[in-house]
Amino acid sequence: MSSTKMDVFSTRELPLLIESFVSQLKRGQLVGSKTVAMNTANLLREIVSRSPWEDIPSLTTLLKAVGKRLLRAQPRELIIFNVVCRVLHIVNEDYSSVEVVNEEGPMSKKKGSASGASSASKGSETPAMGLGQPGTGQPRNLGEQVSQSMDRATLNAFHLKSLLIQEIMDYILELEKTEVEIADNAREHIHSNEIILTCGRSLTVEKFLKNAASKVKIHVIVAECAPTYDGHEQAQALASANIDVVVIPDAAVFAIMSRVNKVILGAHAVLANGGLVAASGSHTIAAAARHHSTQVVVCAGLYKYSPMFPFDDDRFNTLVSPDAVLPYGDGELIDTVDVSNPRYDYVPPELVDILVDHTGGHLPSYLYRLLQENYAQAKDLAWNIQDE
Amino acid sequence: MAPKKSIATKISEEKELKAVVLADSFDDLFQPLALNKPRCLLPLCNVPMIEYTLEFLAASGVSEAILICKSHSEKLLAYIRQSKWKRSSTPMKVNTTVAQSATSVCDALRNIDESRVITSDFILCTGLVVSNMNLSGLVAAHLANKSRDRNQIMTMLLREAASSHRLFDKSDESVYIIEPSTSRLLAVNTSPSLPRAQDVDIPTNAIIYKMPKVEPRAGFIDTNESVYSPEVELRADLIDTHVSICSPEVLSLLTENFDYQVMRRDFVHRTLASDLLSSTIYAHILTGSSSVLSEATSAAATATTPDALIPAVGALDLSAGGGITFASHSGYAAGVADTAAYDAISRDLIGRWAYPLCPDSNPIDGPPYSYHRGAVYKTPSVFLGRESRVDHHVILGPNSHVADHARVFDSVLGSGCRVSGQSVVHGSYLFDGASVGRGSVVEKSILGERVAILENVVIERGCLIGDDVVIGPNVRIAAFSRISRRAPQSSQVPANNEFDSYSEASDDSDVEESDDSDGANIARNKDHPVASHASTSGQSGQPSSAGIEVFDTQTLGASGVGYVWVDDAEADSDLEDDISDEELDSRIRILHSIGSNLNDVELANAELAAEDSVEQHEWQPESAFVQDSQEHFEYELILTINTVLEGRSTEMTITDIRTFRMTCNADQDRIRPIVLEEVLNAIDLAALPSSAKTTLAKAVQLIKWGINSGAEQIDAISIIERHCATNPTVDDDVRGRLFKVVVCVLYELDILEDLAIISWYNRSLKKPDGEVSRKLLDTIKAFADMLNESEDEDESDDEDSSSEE
Repeated sequence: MSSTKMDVFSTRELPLLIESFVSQLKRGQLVGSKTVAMNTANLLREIVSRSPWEDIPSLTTLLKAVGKRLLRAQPRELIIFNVVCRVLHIVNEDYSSVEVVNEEGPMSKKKGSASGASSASKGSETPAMGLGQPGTGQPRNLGEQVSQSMDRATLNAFHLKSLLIQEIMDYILELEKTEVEIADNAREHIHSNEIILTCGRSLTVEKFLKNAASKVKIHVIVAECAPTYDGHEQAQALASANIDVVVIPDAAVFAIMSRVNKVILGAHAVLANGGLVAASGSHTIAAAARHHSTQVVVCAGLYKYSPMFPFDDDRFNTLVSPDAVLPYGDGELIDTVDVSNPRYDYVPPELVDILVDHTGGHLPSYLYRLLQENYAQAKDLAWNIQDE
Repeated sequence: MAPKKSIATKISEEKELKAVVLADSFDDLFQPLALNKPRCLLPLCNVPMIEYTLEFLAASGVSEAILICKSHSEKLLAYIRQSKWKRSSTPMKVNTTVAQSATSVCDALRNIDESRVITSDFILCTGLVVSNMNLSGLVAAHLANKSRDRNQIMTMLLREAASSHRLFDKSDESVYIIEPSTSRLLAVNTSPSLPRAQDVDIPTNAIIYKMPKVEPRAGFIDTNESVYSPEVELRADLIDTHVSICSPEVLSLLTENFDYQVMRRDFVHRTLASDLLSSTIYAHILTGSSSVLSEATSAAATATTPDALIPAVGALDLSAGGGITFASHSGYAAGVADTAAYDAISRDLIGRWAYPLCPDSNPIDGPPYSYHRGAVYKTPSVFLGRESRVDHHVILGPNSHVADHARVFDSVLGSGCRVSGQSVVHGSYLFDGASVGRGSVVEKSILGERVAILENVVIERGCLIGDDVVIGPNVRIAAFSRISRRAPQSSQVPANNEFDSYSEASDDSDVEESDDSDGANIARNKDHPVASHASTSGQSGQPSSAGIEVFDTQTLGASGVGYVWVDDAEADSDLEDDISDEELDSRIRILHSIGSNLNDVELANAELAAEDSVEQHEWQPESAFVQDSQEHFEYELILTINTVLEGRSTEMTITDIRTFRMTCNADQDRIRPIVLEEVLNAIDLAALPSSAKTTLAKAVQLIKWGINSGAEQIDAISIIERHCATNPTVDDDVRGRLFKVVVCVLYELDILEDLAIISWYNRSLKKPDGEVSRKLLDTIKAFADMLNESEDEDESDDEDSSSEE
């Protein structure tokens, strides 16, 4: 594997790209699930297009090596893992489809299950079917002839590269549009004159609520989410769209829950069991909602769905500087008091009623199916990234 | 880093940003830990300290970092060569300079000045700085302010914290005087906390500081017109972070003032205290510790640029009236100045105060650390006994081993450390390969590499134990001991002349400088193997050269290997009753040590007060120097003035006098009488009116330089009057004439104004005869009346105000 690594890293800029990405991660300059996802996907696209890989197994090894490097830099960032898995899945899927084309001829025999995820979103236009994609323009027979005359590995690399880059580009486009597409589902979940509680700052939730408010009248209550006070920002953003907004302290969440019709939360990541990694304060809100039997709707793009299971609550959490809770300058207290300031809460799946992604709402129990479509066996491939 | 296009940072893009890193600290506060390695390669949370600094500089967009090292420079060079900073994938270049002859921080910087690699503003920090900040914004603010205030040479980064804060340097107390609206630093007063200073010395020019008037249209400061600053802040709650942004002028100033040793005490203090240099220093004060913006804002910012700090840079207000106007006051920055700070910073990193800089962010490519409840950081290869307790603020390095029934808390274990059963490690730092035997207790100490603590040993707080030492079994090591594998120099020759000359060579009045640098210490060991008594105890830990080693087995136990460093104080205390500088020194060193706390300061102060109540004058090594330099200064000054009278150009002389003033820290009020007296002495009394005219005309520049304001003019007249009235060389009958002529000539030469003469005259009339000679007053009466009348014609109010003065 080391020799492969040498080969593929021979291009000059790639290590630079990876290192600068890693240092950005370490310096905390890349925060927020969307940013991380976009940057990771772009980095992987660069790697696929620039590195001189010869066949799919070597590309897979390379991507896994890069994924490992990124995860070591930021082991808590589930999004990186998700994106790496997804790209591995795309690679794997194309590979098998090319294999099918090469070996069995007509692609109609191949089942479309492998490309299920993309076809679910994009319908028939997906180019996942290897050489049969519209872009080549040539009759399939010609492609077959060419493939037979050329060395298979070269052919694979030659065709697959552009194919893969196209696929990853589609994935990046999909990432970009995620919020808008989720917001399109808003009317199915939000009804007229509802009182909605949310917390923290989430671009997905903001777009979702704005979309709903453009059609019906809603009232939004925002929990401010100390100590970051992201809720203030969220309230401002919502108020700018003429939504009726009330900001409450986090402690008032339970008291106000009896008046709330629906809780809408954003998430940093959705774990394989349907549990959430969400802004700290979300667990309190979800628990209060359960007590009052209020529906909890979670808006999260597909890229946030992680194949990981939460074996340990702490594993996916990030503890940031406690400065916001207890000022660092307070000499005696910081010596004697342990302060921790977790950025996220783990919300168990039983407190979540509906997960909304761009295709619509799902029950948390349906998550296994989405994961299968998104990652298939790639998650097994990627599994050993974590295990060293 | 990719260059960012923003209005504020454009200025900084003109030239590449460089950084000067002082990789040697020129003191021995970490000895004997740093005997085999430069201090900046010692591990802090299992990462060599230099890595934090380089990472901080790289994150700040520095294009080239220049490391200055001295002791163990070859090891530092070797380390840098194999580190990630030498790979092509890092945008920051790291260059290393070896300053072999440097004896102090300022010396090392002079070397940099000679090599002329610095041509633009640069970041100056020690090689032991831990920070999560991106300084590029502050550099931009510094440069923006420079375009307004051309005299700005430095921006210091300071942290605000309560005085009980663990990062506070307990060995001295600093008072910063700051003009709050521009955050300009007016003065720094640093005094050692032992013995406790009773008062704070505040220079008057700081309190009645004249704020330069800002020309609103031109945008820069007009130095001629000044207004008094409405407020100044005196702050004792600031910690030096050892990070500053400097202009290249700083280096040339250091070269000019070759006597400067320490950056803060010498350079900053004296530059500010001097009223000759118009250089200004600004302070940027940090209040928070987190550097990361909230998730959503940074997401919005990163949508366009990858740098999260752009909005903060954008917040630069260029239209403000001067001063550093960098919006972000949040960020962690601290320098490892001593072992107490080492402890504090380690705890900050473990407590995640410097997020995203924490052990599990894995600053170097080693085995990854992961976070567990109670701030326990583990690598995957750690072995923990089933019954062991590792519960609170601990870092466990790769392959470290904690046995059953052992307890480890508030500590850092390096790679391959072993803690055996029934032992307790609390608040301690174990470097790679250290081991603690069964039933031993290690309390708030630092154990070097491969140190072996055998069974039933108690290490009390504040001990520093050097590499390869073996201690035990069954002993107790007293608090604040220092133990090394090699025999220490100072304890070997306590009664020897060698020692005396050694202590004289270094500056005794200066705590931090009182001992030589790490490297020099070792060099001394090598240089004088004979003088340091190889016969008594196998010199320098090499059995082959010195036969069988005799270790301090009495204190270190039967199997002990190593030497206890005897405090100079203990060696001397038999000889002298009062507190010697050495003892004070060692007490101050204890305050620098890990495990020391505020109570120690109080205690030591109380002891000192009790023991030394009468001998207060003992601790004034400076006063003699001041007295001495005073006489020397006057002598030099007189010589210089005479050269003017002999025809040398006054310009040159004024420059010379300026230089004297800087070195002797004299003020204008002391120079004026000397200048005037000398000039008056030179007047030939026989040919009075003409000789006075020519002599005074020759020296007009010189006199004028010392006399500006009305008060100074009045003072000058008094000096002349005293000279005329009391100088024995003047004959009695010419006294009146001389006085009148001199005053008239000076009036004609525009040195004295009519207002000053009138008000001096009016004031003198009220004084008793002893202070002012009536005779002389009479001679000048006509002249004063004449001036008075002409003044009356101009403005009648003026007389009232002037007579009131």
